Amino acid sequence: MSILTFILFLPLFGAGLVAMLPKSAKGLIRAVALASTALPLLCAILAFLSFNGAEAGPGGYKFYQKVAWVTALDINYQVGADGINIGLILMGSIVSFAAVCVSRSIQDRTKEFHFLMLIMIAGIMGTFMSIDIFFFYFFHELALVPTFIMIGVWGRGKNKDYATYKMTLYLTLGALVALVGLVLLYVQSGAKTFDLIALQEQLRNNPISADAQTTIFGFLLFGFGILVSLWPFHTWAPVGYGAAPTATAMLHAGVLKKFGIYGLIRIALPLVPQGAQAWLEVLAWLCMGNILYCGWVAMRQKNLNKLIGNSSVAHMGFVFLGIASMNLIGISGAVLVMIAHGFLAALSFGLSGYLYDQKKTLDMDQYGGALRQMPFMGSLLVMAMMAGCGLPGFANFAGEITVLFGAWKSLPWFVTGTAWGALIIGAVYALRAVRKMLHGPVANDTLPLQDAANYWIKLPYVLLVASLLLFGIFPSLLTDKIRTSVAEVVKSIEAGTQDQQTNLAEESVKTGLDIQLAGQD
Amino acid sequence: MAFSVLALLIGGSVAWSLYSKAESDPIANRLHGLSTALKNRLYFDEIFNGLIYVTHEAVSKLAEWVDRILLSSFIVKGLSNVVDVFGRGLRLFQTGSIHTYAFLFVVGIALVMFFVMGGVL
Repeated sequence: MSILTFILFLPLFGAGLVAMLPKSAKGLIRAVALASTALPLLCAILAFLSFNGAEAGPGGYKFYQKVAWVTALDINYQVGADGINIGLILMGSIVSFAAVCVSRSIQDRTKEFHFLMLIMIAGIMGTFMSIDIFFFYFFHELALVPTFIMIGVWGRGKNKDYATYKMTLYLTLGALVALVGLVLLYVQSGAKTFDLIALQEQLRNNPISADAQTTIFGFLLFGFGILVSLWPFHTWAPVGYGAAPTATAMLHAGVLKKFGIYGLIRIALPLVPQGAQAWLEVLAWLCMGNILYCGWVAMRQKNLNKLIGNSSVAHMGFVFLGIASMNLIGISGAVLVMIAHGFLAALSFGLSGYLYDQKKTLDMDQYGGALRQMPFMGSLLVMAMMAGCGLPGFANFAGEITVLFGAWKSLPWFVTGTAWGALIIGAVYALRAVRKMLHGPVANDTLPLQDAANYWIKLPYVLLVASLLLFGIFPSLLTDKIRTSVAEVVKSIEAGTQDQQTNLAEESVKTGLDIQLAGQD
Repeated sequence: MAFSVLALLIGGSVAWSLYSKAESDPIANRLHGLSTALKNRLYFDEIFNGLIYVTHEAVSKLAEWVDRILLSSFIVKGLSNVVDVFGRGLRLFQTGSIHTYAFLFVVGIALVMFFVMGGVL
């Protein structure tokens, strides 16, 4: 049995156990939830460390496992890891453990909350390790349903219901549009399988027509794009995260949101590369919308969660920029930003949740001099803000600089120049937030802030900061793995687009011959 | 290495000669405006702040307005309102009266027959 199956099924098993425990056994419920994420975390670390030495299975996937499910439709439980998803699985496991750790403040319906959170975590892990398109989509939906319920029931603020509806409608619509693209891909490929490896093999030998590829990529781009808050379909994100309970925001913004980008890199780029090329310019313009526009909107925010939400949308622009570059450096950078942003978003929302639990508001005007009251947690917030504006030493810097190098190579200079200039916007809103909340005179009110009292409270935040620093100082731990797998994706893109050029050349030669023959007649 | 030590020695001796017996800053009196400018870090902070204010700050006000009013309120909520109005309109047909439903049923059959038979009726 693959180690990935343990990572996927342990949280599900934990959810089953939690469901059987009495509501009053809150301590036991938390212990089960912690164990159901700590053990997968250990498995993920083990898988990450042994990745290079592991034996590669079909399609180059390691830790591969296949169990037949619906043979008539060729739907199989099929999991595996390569350089693209091994980092995501590790990041997902770390964020999941951190999310369970910070959920001790949930006192109302503790059992239901932890049950839903474990289901969500299992869905997230399943999404990133599935190499069967059916399960890839199914696990994403499995993770989305608890997300909506958690925001609706345990959410905060007077806009909670509005945020839940908005997020549900947007994300369901995005998932449906992506589903249309996936079904079209299944039908057009003629492979009659959901197996990603078989699909890739089939489309390498018999590519879909350029027009059909353009249509399919359009559906996948906008479907997945809505899920990743691609501008201008981003307005659900700040509102949703502003209302979400801490753990849900950490898990969704940190990990589940990456489903869309992962889908584009794993499915859309290698399978319909000609379609990708047709949409390239549109994508480059839209990601400018994310980077610039959402950065500017973040500058005007007074609520910390809305600031982090908008900044998170702006960061996604860098990932789209990496994808739009369609080269090895750019796409590798996009994967690196995905992982780095996962840690950062989880850390930022985790810290904002810590502040909210004490002060019951995230209005930045209500804070001041917090660094004096809580030097440890305040320093972590400074580090999160610095990582967000791309300070060297944090993983975000490594990812964003790689994306910029990739974009410089293949996109017009003004696109890269604008993205580079937009880093200033990030610095402006991050530094202003630090100044307003952490420096200056201590805010005079009845609810003073308390620093983290013990190691258990500090653990999830320290784990996330340590991950950001580890992959920031030693990015090669990830890039060495990412590069090999992204090279395969780029090879598929190049092969696919060369076919198009060959077809065009053949067509023009044929047209030329027809004209010559017509002339001779 | 030698240059660094030399620079240290020159800098140190100039500073010693200027400040060792001075009661107030002698540089400030001699350099006047330049001294004030240096004291204020050549006003770089103010220049940066001003630049941000006239560029990013101005655009960010516009972007935030577009996001809040145009996108979130006008387009997104507008679409939801259209659906809402449509639903309210459809509700009028749910009268609960069996006669109305029978009437609509007959109208429906007549319409279907009209389209199926190509407008012969």
